[in-house]
Amino acid sequence: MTQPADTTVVFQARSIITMNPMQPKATHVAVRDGRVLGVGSADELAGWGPARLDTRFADKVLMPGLVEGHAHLLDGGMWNFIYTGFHDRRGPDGRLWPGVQSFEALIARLREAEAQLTDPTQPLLAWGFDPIHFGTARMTVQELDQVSTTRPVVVLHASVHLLNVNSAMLRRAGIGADTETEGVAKDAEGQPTGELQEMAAMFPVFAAIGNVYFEAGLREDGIRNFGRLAQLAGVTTASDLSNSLADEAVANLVKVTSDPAFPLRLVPAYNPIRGPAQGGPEHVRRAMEHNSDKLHFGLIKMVVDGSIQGFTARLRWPLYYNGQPNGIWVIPPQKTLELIDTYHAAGFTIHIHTNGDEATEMVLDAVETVLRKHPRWDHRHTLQHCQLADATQFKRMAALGMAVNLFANHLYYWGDAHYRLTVGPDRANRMNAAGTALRLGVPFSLHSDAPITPIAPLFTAWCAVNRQTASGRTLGASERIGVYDALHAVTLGAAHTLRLDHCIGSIEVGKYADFAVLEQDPLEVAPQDLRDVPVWGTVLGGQVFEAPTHPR
Amino acid sequence: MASALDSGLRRNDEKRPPIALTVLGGFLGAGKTTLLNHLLRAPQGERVLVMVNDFGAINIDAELIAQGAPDLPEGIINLANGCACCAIGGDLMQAFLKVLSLSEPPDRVVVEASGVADPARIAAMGRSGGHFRCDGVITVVDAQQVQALARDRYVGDTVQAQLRAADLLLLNKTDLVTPQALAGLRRWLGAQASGVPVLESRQAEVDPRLILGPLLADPADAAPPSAEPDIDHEARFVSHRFTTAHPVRRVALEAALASLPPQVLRAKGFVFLQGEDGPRVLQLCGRRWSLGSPGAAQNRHHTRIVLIAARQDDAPAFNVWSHFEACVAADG
Repeated sequence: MTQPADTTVVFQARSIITMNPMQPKATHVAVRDGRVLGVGSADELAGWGPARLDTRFADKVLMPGLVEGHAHLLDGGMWNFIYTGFHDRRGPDGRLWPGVQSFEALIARLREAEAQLTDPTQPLLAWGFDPIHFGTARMTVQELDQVSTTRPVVVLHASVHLLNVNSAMLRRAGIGADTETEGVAKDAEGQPTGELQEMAAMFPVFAAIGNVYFEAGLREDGIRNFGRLAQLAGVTTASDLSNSLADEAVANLVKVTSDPAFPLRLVPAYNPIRGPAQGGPEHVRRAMEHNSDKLHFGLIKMVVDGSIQGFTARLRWPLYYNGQPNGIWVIPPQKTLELIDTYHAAGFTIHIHTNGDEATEMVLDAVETVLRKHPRWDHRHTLQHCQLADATQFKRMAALGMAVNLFANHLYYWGDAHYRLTVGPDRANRMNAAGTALRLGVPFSLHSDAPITPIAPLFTAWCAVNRQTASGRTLGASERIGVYDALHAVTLGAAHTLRLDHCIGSIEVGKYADFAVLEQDPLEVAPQDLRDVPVWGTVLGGQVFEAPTHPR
Repeated sequence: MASALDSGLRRNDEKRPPIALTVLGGFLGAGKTTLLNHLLRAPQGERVLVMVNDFGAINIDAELIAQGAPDLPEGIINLANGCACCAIGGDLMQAFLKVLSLSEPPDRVVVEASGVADPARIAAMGRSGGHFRCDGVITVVDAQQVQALARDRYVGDTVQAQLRAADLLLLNKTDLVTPQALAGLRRWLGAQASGVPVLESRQAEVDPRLILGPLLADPADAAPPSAEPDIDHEARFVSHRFTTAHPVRRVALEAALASLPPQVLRAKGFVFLQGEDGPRVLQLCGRRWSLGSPGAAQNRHHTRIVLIAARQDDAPAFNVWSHFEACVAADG
């Protein structure tokens, strides 16, 4: 029996990186029913019968669709607001927003946005501002009042722990010289400067404008924007690592992913702490009834400690380099053990956020305890971030059958701060130790934690390959890994942690026809240039998604 | 972009009195939920809304919270997201925004903090921009476990921070330790949280007025002045009243509050400062006190303060009149 020609498409490419060691390179890939029918030369594929030859990628390079193993849908919602970050960043429409590197540039960008608003009472909201790059200079109402003296202006910092507002917003929030709240910065005359630190100080602003930043990502348009951001980066599968799986959230995800125009497979992980009190394994199983080829419920996510740059990660001795007290537990250690026990015994794979090495140690202990009670093969429990683990801890991960997803982007974005301020040179050099994971045989992936840093696995791979900070310092040269290993981490490595390596992660017969379409061969460019390899778009289940290009 | 902001700016113009905020802290198993149930079982005439930052099932007796806000039939907001104190934009912030949006806001919000939360961070919300007024941080202490927990490899520093954050400590489960151990615990707590008064209980059974503050009727119907303190049924606590129709001098009042003897645990009052026509709410919990913004102007400037003190036969007697006398201005 032969298939009609239009059901089989053969894509011809300059080169195909398969990530399948049996056949690392090819020029043609045949696709039928959204899956890979065969990989090889035109001749090798001829035996599958008549096919339509698609040559649009003849001068491009295909590799397996990239897999982002740790991101958040929130990333899609942020683009409802004006980007004011220090580094260049691309919006969901493909527009490149140059980094804002001076107060003047910030004022100019906000003025431009202000001019486009028609309702004079509508507040102007921005995000991503990062004063860590401005030395000791602090932004005040002086700068933001140049944007408007009547329209409230709010600038959320990249850390999301601070806000800057203008005088109009201060008035609207009722913050004045007599406000005694801790975190309301004041000048020499006792007037608020417009900088509001931490939640108590920021609360009056949110009481006036609502919880807008954090609600935007949960809506349908936020999920769609997230899909576009992923597509721009060559990503065909991404996780949403912390979801309540509330009915409305599940319904939105089902609706968006069932749209053929949505270019992404989504893997939302259930966080038992965010779910309903009557949640538990049954709650996850109910959501799994909605699973499809583009929507995969079934992972569990837990957060154990905070962040290193926020000094809330739990560190072992000697704690923080600048003398800050140790960080916080988000869940009591005893409760962490109980939750791991519950979901491990129920057969789920658990992803556990541990930034600091004390948090990592506690979770290793917990997993070991649980495994003794309920031995289980191939559980793939995965430490997320796991930024400060030492070689001994990686050895334990290997022995316990665990995987790890390292936050390689931190090396670039906060590497200098880690070296100078948070953990000091010794531990900054061993951060996100992909080299050790590779040597000790811990299955590993690399991630962006978008929106904390932009979703862009080729950049993330570049970070693990070069371990270079924003200022150009190399952190722990011996932990660098090769380009092939880094590409493996952002394809098959991530697929392993998501338990999807049977259907994604390599271009291989039987798997989904998910490709990243690149203008250059990442294995041929200099390792230093990996981050600059242009992404043309993606192919998802054989369907072509060209990335939107935006006039510069 | 406009869709995110359909609601536009909410008006902050209408002046609503701040909502009282009480934070119950303490490690897992200390007795926070027992205390909460105990408080709810003895209603003080306030409409109380409860926020529970617990993991998993909520163990609060639902019938006790039937008096909650009408928009929230159960009167509970579950702060599911672990350590609520540090989640910007997270559940705690969302919960506080929800309270403000209620058509009939409660008189008081009681937050049961998670076992690893720093209650001081939650209390900071009550000092924020006039929406809430922190009425005290009460850390519940497990007499049997606290010293071991304070040495624990993973949570020791968290437990110690909870003790330091307290305005009042409630040493609970005292029946489970020997009298000698109890005496040692008192000394140990005095070193851990210097100057913080310590109450004691068995099953978190404690006079609600100590946790939530004394009751205070409307200042308009002031009770006749009484020099005799009210003695409660167990005679462990004494309540004192101070009233005056004369204006109060702020500097002298602040000095009087700073020099209260250690047995004074709580105070609440309406105070008319010199030159002001509206009363300020005075609130004291342990050694921390606050004086709110002036309320709406009233014709009768009747200052009234209620204080609750531990009865200590060996301590010098506390005379509320002589203590506050200097605050009264010669004339209005």
